[in-house]
Amino acid sequence: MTRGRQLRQIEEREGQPLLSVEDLRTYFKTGHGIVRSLDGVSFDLERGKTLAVVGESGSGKTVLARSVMGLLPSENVIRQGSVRFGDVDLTRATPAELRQLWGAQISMVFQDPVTSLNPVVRVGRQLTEHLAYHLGMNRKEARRTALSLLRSVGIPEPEARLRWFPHQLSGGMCQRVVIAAAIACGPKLLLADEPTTGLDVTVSAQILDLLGRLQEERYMSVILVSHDLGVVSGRADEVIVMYAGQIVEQAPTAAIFSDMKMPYTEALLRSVPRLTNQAHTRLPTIPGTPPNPAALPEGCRFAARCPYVQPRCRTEPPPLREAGPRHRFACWYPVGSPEALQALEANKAAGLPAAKAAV
Amino acid sequence: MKELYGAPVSGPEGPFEMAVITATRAPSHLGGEMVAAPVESRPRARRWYHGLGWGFWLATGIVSLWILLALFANLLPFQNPDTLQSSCFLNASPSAAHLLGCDQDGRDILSRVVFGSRVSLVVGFASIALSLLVGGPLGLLAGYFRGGFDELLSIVANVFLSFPSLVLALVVVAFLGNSEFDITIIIAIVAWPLLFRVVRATTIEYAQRDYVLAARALGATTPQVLWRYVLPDVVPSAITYGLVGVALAIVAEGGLSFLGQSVGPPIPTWGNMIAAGTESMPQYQSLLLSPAIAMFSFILSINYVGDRLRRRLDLRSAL
Amino acid sequence: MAGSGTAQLRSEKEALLRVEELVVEFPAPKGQKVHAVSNVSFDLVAGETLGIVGESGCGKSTTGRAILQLPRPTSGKVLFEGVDLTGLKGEELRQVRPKMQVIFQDPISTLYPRRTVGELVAEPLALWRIGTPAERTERARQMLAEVSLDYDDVSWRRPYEFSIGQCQRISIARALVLNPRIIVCDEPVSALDVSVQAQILNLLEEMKERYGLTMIFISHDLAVVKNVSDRLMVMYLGKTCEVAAAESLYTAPAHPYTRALLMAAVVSSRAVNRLPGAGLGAETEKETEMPSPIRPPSGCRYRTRCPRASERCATEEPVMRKIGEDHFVACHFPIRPPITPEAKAEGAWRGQPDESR
Ligand SMILES: Nc1ncnc2c1ncn2[C@@H]1O[C@H](COP(=O)(O)OP(=O)(O)O)[C@@H](O)[C@H]1O
Ligand code: SF4
Ligand code: SF4
Ligand SMILES: [Mg+2]
Repeated sequence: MTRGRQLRQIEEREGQPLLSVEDLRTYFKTGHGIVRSLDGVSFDLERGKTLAVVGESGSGKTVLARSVMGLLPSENVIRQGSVRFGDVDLTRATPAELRQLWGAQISMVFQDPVTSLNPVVRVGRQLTEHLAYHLGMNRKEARRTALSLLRSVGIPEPEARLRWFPHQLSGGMCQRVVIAAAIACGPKLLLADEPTTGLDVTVSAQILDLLGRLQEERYMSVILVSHDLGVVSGRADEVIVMYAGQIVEQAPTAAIFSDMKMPYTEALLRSVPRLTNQAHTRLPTIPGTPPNPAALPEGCRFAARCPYVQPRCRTEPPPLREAGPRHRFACWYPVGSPEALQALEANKAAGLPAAKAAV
Repeated sequence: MKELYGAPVSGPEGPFEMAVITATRAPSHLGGEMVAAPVESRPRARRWYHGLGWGFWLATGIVSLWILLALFANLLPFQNPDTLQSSCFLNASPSAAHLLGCDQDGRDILSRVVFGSRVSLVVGFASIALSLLVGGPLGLLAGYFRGGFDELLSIVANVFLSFPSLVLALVVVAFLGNSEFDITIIIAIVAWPLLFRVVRATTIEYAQRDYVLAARALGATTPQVLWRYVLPDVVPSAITYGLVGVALAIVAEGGLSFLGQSVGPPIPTWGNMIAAGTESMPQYQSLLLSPAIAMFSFILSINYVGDRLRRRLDLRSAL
Repeated sequence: MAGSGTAQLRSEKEALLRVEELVVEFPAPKGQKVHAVSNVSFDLVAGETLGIVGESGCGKSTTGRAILQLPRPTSGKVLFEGVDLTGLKGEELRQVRPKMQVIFQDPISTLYPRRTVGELVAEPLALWRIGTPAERTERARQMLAEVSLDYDDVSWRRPYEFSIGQCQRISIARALVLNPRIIVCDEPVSALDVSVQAQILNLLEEMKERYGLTMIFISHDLAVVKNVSDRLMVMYLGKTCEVAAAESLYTAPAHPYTRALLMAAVVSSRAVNRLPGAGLGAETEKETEMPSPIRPPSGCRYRTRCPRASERCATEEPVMRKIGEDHFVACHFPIRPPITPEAKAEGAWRGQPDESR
């Protein structure tokens, strides 16, 4: 027990969220100028809740997860704002402090499970060595804990699997091992960046069920990053929709699907193919591509693709507004409002492609 | 609830290394997502010759200089390398008239080094060209068609490779003789399996790319597939390996000369000059050093050029 | 699942493409064999879209490629317009190739990086020496316009300068330039974001209509396949589980594996589709892993995961049989179709008791 490094325990404050992100900005200096990958993101996350982050690739989901974690390259990055985790401000923590928190208090599950594991070390050793070193367990204890971890992530015959190398496991099994490693020290916050992208539907459903179960058992907070709205639908308490580095809507899961206010959320949901559709259904689409993050437009960043767009949208960026309890959105002409209907009719009449594609 | 987190929570905890390990990969992972900018802002690919560094151009200069010297030695104002020069004392030290001095027979060392490059360079380039001519097409076909043809050729190549190359060369010299032509053939016999293997491996790699499958599905004939989709990647890589091979071939020729098994005196070669130099007295260093430095400068340079180009190609194909 | 059998085949005259008892094996270390595709039969009527669904590694892509004879199947017949492609020699087969094209999952790697987009789209014509260079350019311009790309903007750029969605448009243009009859789409939208996926799916549908294409659409995503297919074939570990009209496969899946796939898909799209909560029922899959195709289980290959498996499943391989109008299943204990219309509307597969056990 003495060999383990002393762990920095975070203090949770009464009545305060576990994680509180405020005006977080992450810019990268590149050859094309400053890329604003994350541009003023704020949100809270309470203990035991799941927050989903959805958006197209390049919208800043991964950068958000890594900025929260403090896992950014050290060069050519500008990060501003604050990330309060319990009583610690992660943006001010030293690298040594961060290392004490990573894995123990916050851990992360990455998209590609196979590259997240060391390919030349047996699964068992990857788990037991760290348990032994960091939790000061002796070999027997570590082995027992590793076995119970593998069992709790649903790996059949864990005794045998301890001796396997990562490449002998399927993608789904690898992801289970990665999850076992991530929860080994009982983190309070788990960041899962596209944990099931690339896995099969049935396997993906199992992994997500597993995450849900572990979260409940361990009272963790989870940030679930995904480009797939279907993945988050049954599993998150709240959903953040990101577009071009900003939060464009945040709402309790049910409200996102039934009462979305932001035209982008609406368009994204409409373009998902449905099981109930007849064969040869044409799907509503979002024309065009997201804006170049090195040359963002002045007003609303969705304006070029929005079916409701009005002159005001192109000059004034819409602020985040409240639409109900824990429901925020950024739009001048929210979906369902009379102004929006008027705007859509006007755009259709004017022959705007986005308005036509939205029907 | 907090007691239920599971066993590992109790006790003094340390961070789990895994998060730290993966953290070191963060920049490259991030790179992918962050520059997923729209098309217009993507930079165009650099030309192949950009950013190779001054060392590459210096080496290329040295290689070119030697090739030019060897080609035009007759036209340049060099003294006759084979005859005694009236102004030359035996074993004379370097002087204004004879920049590198004279050898034990009163011949100008500078002109002998320049003319000596001819044999080395001709043997080096010709033997590798011959190996490429044989090993290249065979490697291409074996790598593209695979199957029994490939297995057979690979066995043959391995048999050749399993002989110690010097022994193989010496045996063949005994059969063929030691003219410039014979030496070229001998080095080619030793070298072709290596180039066969390089070309075969490169072909296998490129032939299984998706675009080759797509081309076949379009109805491209085998020659069309090879010519349009496989050769453009295999040829540059074969040539860069060939350049490195030239260096090795020149060393091999030098080795044979040294053993007296290559083109012999009076025709100067770097190899037989070095052999003669080692027998002379230590105070006449020019006799040994001049051909040695000449050979060394060429081999090192061409090796470097080949190596830099090869790495550049690898990087480009990883793109 | 999995079974063999040919009950699902329609008359030979009707079919544009008819695949009989297709077997594809790959050599594995120690003299073993990968049984990638075993005894798969299906057919396609002109103008139809057949969707092939299943988890990765179940042999979907291998089936698609074996139809194109890339590589040639180990055994079985592939009848295209009445001609068995497996019997054709080099040049004869090459003559058929332009009529069958393929679109891959990763468009960037299927486009040769040394060519410009203009060259890539005109290239099939050059390979077949059709037209003059000027005519080819004109045709490339037309095809790129069909997929909403402007020739003057894109023709001089190289594939890696484009997003995946745009590359997929380019490969569609390239595949259509020779006027094929059949297109095999191998997971064409799996690498794309939803918004781009919708664009590409619509584009494929449009192209299918305009050019009267017959399509094989391979995907692991049931919702995507259902949106484009007339008929669906479910595969598991190299075998066929169920073949049916898309609608009846969805409303009344008979094979336990089809139901498992549907459950996974429905759970993940429940809110998106605003469906009532899926009662997952008592029957869930036993184990999570697909067995190795090197040593597949005896009898029914799905039995290691099947909640209904019994001894018979281990000894006797189920054969395709008809259980309804254009609905075929290879299972000894299929899930019975729902009795009442309400039950049908609710979705019978959500775990209702089955009398046949
Ligand atoms: N060239 C090959 N050599 C050996 N095995 C292969 C080869 N191609 C495919 N396989 C194997 O065949 C099986 C089916 O693969 P595939 O058709 O790609 O499945 P799917 O497209 O359904 O994901 C898999 O087990 C795969 O590993
Ligand atoms: S209506 Fe205006 S503000 Fe709202 S999303 Fe569209 S462009 Fe942006
Ligand atoms: S019930 Fe038997 S035959 Fe049917 S799928 Fe299950 S294991 Fe196969
Ligand atoms: Mg596949």
